[in-house]
Amino acid sequence: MNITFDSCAKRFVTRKGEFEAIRGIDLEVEEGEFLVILGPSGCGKSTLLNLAAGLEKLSRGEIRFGGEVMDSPEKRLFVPARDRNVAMVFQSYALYPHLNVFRNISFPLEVARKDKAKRSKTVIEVAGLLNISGILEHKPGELSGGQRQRVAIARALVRKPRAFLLDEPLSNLDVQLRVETRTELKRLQRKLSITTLYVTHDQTEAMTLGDRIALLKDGMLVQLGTPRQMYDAPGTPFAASFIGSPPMNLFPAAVRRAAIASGGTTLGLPPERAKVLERMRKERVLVGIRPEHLAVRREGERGLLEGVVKVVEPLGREDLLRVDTAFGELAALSSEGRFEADQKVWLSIEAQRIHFFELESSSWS
Amino acid sequence: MTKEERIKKLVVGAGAVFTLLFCLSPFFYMILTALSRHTDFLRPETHYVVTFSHIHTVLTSQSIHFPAHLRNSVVVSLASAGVAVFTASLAAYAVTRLAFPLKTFFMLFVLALSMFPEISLVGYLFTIMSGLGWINTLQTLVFPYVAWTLPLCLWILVSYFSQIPEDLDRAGLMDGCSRFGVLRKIIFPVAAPGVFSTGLLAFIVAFNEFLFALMLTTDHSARTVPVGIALFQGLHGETPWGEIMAAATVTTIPVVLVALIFQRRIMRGLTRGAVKA
Amino acid sequence: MPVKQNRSEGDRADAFGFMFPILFFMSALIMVPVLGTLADSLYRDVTYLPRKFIGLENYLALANDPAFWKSLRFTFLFVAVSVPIEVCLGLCMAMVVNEAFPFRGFVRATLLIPWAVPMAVSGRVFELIFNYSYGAANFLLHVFDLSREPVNWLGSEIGAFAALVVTDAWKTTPFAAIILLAGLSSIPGELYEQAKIDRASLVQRFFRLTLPMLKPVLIVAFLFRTIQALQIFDYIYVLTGGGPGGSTTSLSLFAYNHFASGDFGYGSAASVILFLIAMSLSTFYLAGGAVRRTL
Repeated sequence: MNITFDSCAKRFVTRKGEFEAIRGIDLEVEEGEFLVILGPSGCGKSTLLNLAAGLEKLSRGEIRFGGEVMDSPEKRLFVPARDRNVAMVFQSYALYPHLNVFRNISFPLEVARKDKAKRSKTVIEVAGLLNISGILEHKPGELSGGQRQRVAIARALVRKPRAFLLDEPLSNLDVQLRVETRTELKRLQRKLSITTLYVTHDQTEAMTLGDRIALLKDGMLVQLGTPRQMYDAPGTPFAASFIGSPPMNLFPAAVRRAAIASGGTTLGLPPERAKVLERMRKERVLVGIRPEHLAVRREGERGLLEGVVKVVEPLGREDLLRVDTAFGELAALSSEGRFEADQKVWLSIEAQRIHFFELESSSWS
Repeated sequence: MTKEERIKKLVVGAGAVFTLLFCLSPFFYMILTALSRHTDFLRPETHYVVTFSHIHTVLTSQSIHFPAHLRNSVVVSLASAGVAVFTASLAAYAVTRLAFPLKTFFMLFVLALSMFPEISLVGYLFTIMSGLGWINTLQTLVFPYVAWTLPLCLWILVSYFSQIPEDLDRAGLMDGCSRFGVLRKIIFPVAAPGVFSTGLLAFIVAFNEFLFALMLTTDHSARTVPVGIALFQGLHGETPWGEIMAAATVTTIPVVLVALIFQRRIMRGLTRGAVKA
Repeated sequence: MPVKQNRSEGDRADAFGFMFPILFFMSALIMVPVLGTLADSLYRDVTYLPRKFIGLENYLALANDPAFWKSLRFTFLFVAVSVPIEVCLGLCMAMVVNEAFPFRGFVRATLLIPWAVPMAVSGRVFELIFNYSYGAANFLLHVFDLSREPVNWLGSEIGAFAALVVTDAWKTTPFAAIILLAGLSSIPGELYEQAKIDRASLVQRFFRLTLPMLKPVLIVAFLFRTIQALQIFDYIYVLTGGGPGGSTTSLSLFAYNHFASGDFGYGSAASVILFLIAMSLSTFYLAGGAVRRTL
């Protein structure tokens, strides 16, 4: 089942006045796709999810499931959550504390008045799928975070919903568990081919899990694309710095012929990049280059950028070096592991990976 | 400092003893009198003789109607507590989870109404009940008692419900429940201890109520225990203190036991209800 | 961050259903009777006479009725004497129970007993206690040699007043203690530790730390107790019946007596007066609270 968000907007009225959580979002989620809604706090991602779930009502626009209208203020149509046959996993899991695991999972089936034998069968099936067959008698209070999460997922899947909505389900898990569960989630989704909307603020999760990523900021869709697309071709400085860890280096520079310059230093550009720069017709631009595309050398050569190491942050398999250059302080990744503070180094830039953005639009597309 | 501490210990000790004596002595005096053959057992010349005859009389006498009063009280209090808790739960759910206009006004409305003196209601209430032909029935008490205990129940339940995370509601809605279904299947079970405490308090308040019962009932078919005991006069001018205290004992011992068993719950409920205001 | 104030608009229909029962009960069984009483007070409504609209005549009659003023005086005097005693004594009890000592839980539990006992019942118990011939009160006076002869509690004006204050105090002091105890236990212990380190004496700690922090709870306790005490009825009915000579007739009992003799119009007028007094106190409290909250 595909999900369509058509010019959707949501306005909240609070004591302090009106607040536009969603300002006009057009989004098409394809059948069976794992779409990640990514963005910083307050960008509206949870609201978007709640709108899809039917827990909130649109102020403007339309939401359709497979062509069927679920929410349309203009047409005065609203299908409440209980009738949409979609399932949600909450950040807090929201397991019913007074019921044991079995009854938590069978709860949606009980509400739907399915007969006992069928309920039992389905619950056991789903429990097996999520490896929680052993804890069916326990109460949520007795479970670990990871177990609780599985129970939440089982409860969501038991009704065979047509869409699967997840609101930052991994944030309450510790890092190790998070990585394991991530993989499992992806495998599960693949297996079930269920249309999935996944909300997170963690770009690593987004990159590893999503078939596509919808990047939101201040209630608007900034960019939509596959993880590769988001990484290779961010459309705005915001997208560029949000995707990829450590974040992309962004610095202003003056435009020269086939080169950029700052603080007396000029950096030449290959013809293809130079052409892009020329087309922008600006005197100053915002330049972006990811730390992983800056190689750190101990000896200087022509065409390399000179700098002094300020801070060395060991990350395990590589070090993050903060290097002071003519273009400002740049972050670079090195797996050599032999650099120290105050050391003079030379940075080799993968020119094909240089991005250019307009300087005025500091955070908007 | 130690001198001060010693004084403090002394004062606290004396205070504790005083508190105990204060709270318990009338209660024990009541029991002693109920079990004593002679009411004037405090006089030096009178011996204290234990007897259960007062209790027996009170429980079996056809003219005192004590068991009838007891039955009425229990039925009326249970019914009003039940209805009050249910009604208050619905409202508490709406107040803590739903958006509707004039919510603050409503809370103030309830608060204000809870401060109306009983005497200012009972006159017209009598007129209403006479008009309905309900004087001296059980329902004539249940309805006013429900209304009378509702503010207390509402405050307490609002404070309990507001502690239950709304994510549980959302999960219930996603799982197919209606709003009322969420209340019934999720909120009630999770808030069960709080709901129980509220019911307990409502029961005790209804049980102890006096003025409405006095005015709206006329004989043992609907009269409650407080009124029965208040009007217990005796037939020949000599006040039958033994029997009166026996009736009082039979009435209060269960209530006191319940209060003691659930004292933590009750105190929590009372302080929530009062401090909320 | 989810915005907490947002609620779906479909809530409104649900809300109506959820709120209807409570609104029904409160309106039909409290609002309507009060309005009815208000209306009744403007009529001559006596059982054996036809009902007639007389406007404010009942109130004029009240103003000229010495029994009315007597009951008003008694009610105010009663409130003025008993409420401070109860709140202060309750505070002392609360402070005692707030300390740790063996069997403290048991002592705290006994605070509930007076509250759990119906007022009418405790009224009769105290009626016996204050009995002239064999009551415990006179017995204790005799044993501790505090009085040469037994006191006629319920037969004298001052005695009856005192007996009522004691009876009321028995019921409400422990309840006040429970409320104040909750207030006390919400004062963080660290503040006392800090005060001790700062070499504050016991008395100083009480006046500079305990009292100010308890102020909101104390005010609530005072106000609520006052409003309740104004309405006192139950044990006056049982203990003194309003006597001797109508000297202990509270405003409630005054109104009730007229109801009992079938004069609903006049009784209603008296109860309206009580209502106005109680309401002005409540408004005073609510207004004060609202002002404080906006500051």
